[in-house]
Amino acid sequence: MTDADPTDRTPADRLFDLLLEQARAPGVPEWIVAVLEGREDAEAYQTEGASLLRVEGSDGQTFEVRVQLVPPVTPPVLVGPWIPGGAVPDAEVQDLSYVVVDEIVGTTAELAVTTWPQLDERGRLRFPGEEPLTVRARAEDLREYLSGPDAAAGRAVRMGDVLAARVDRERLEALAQEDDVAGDPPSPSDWLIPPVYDVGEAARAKAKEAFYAAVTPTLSEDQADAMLKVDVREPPAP
Amino acid sequence: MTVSNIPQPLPPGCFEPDPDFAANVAAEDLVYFLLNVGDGDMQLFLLPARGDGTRRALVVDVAKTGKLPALIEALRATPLLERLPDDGYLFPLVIGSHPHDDHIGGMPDFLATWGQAVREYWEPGYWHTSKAYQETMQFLEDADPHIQHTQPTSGTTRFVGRVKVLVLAPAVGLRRRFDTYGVDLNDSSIALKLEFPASRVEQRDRERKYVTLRGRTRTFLLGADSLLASWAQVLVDFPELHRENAPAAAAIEEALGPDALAAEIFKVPHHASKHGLNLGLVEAVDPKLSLVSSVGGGGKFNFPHRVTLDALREGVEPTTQSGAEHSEDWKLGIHYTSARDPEGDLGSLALVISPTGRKRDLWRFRDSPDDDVDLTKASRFVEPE
Repeated sequence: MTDADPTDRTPADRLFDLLLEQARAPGVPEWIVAVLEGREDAEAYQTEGASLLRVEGSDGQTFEVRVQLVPPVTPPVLVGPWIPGGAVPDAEVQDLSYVVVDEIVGTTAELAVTTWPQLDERGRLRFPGEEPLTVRARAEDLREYLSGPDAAAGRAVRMGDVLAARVDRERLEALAQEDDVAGDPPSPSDWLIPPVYDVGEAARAKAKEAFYAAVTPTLSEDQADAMLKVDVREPPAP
Repeated sequence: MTVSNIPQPLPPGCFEPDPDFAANVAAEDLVYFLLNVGDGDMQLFLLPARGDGTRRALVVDVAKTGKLPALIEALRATPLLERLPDDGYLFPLVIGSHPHDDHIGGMPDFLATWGQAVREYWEPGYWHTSKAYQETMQFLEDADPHIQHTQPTSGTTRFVGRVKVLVLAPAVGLRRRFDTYGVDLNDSSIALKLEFPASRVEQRDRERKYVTLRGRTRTFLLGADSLLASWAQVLVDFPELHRENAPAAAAIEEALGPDALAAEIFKVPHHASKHGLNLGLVEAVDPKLSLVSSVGGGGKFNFPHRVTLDALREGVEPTTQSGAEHSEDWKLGIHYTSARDPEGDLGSLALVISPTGRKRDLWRFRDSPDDDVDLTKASRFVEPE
């Protein structure tokens, strides 16, 4: 059966071929192949749920056929750019890049730069396009650059910080290519174009959302409202 | 003498090419792949074949896109993975040790390709702002409840076939501080100890009995990117017990082993950075094979760091009192994904390990970080004359 011209095979034929291939594996009783090929009949067939067919042979042995359809992955429906709020002007976000402080080793930070994220129809950050470009910076240089004139007051850069900024794409791509060599990291001013916005708090909130949505079902609006309306009373003082 | 952080080339004659890698793997063998991805981790365990002849696999980190799915496809063209498990779960457990791009940068791509075959996903519960983290979480959200999502802490144990997976880190004390960002993201890493074979019951006809295999099993310690704070907690959670004779110590020893950190095969933490390892840790692990996944000097952080390699060498071969020079790394059992020999890159490595420990073969595949693994380029490591 499997020797036939593959172009003549219907989807049902191909499914049956897969089934026969499994039945012919070492250790599988011959009667299963015989039933599948129609040379013997089974004692009983029993359907269980929507995905299981149990076949009983003459000696009481059974085999099970489980069917699982894997739906194709549908591309997300994008509804527009993520607006982080704060100081970032809404109209500018399309021109910005999303810059994550991904790693810090000693004095060196590694920054991962992607195009600005979009939101899908469920409010999730989506990053269409290529993989992040990575570029190094001295952590102290980055702190000073972000702090501006009052550099001494700026806080230390931390992993997970996110910057929103326009970048010199051509320069950034060149630096990312050169990145796999030892030597001093480039200055942030080589590729970042002011103004640079700190959107770390908003980005962390989106990461937290992503995490909780992955580990437990999201609440409907009604469910959340109902829970938030509960009057939480402190226990009376002793 | 080795003085640089750049791995010294191995001498000629260390490798025997054998284009039929799969023919060298027996049904009862465990196969461990550590892929060459530069500064990053990508690890695959092929578990021993089950009674029906099928193997399952564990994944620990996927640093970049493409390379792991390509290896799995290459293995599917061999008897090792020719037939998939009947229940569809080729991957009973996939682990993203922590959400840095050099560990989960390729996880969304892997899950998109093989997610239907994943039963359980482990991650430390440290949320990160990166693209890869967001996309991994989105996949898991969409896969719910198909994939069990777990955030293990020290002591969590999962038996997968003949392999025991024990979580050494993160400790509960660190885990509870993630929300405050008071913990370095690297210290959220899931560090693991794997034991093979984990089976302890001998079945003879209708009779069975517990078999003591203490000290006879093969052990891996996978350090992920755990740093000092994490290892300090590990030493509290898993104290050395071999000098204790108290009944309680004996009971803990029975459960965890005499020296919980001791491991035959040591995947060196954090690409051998200066913060991922110290001499005390190496002495506690006492490895026979130490594996370093990084570029060979240079790169973004100049991994592996020389001070770390010195600690590793001293832990394996103490010479501070004698003042002697250390042996070459390959003689100390230290191997790098970035290593070279006169013929070029040695590339990704695999260990083929029998349950008795009689076989512990090291293979290399001569791929660069951007190449797929070509199994026909396999070469087995042999000690040169």
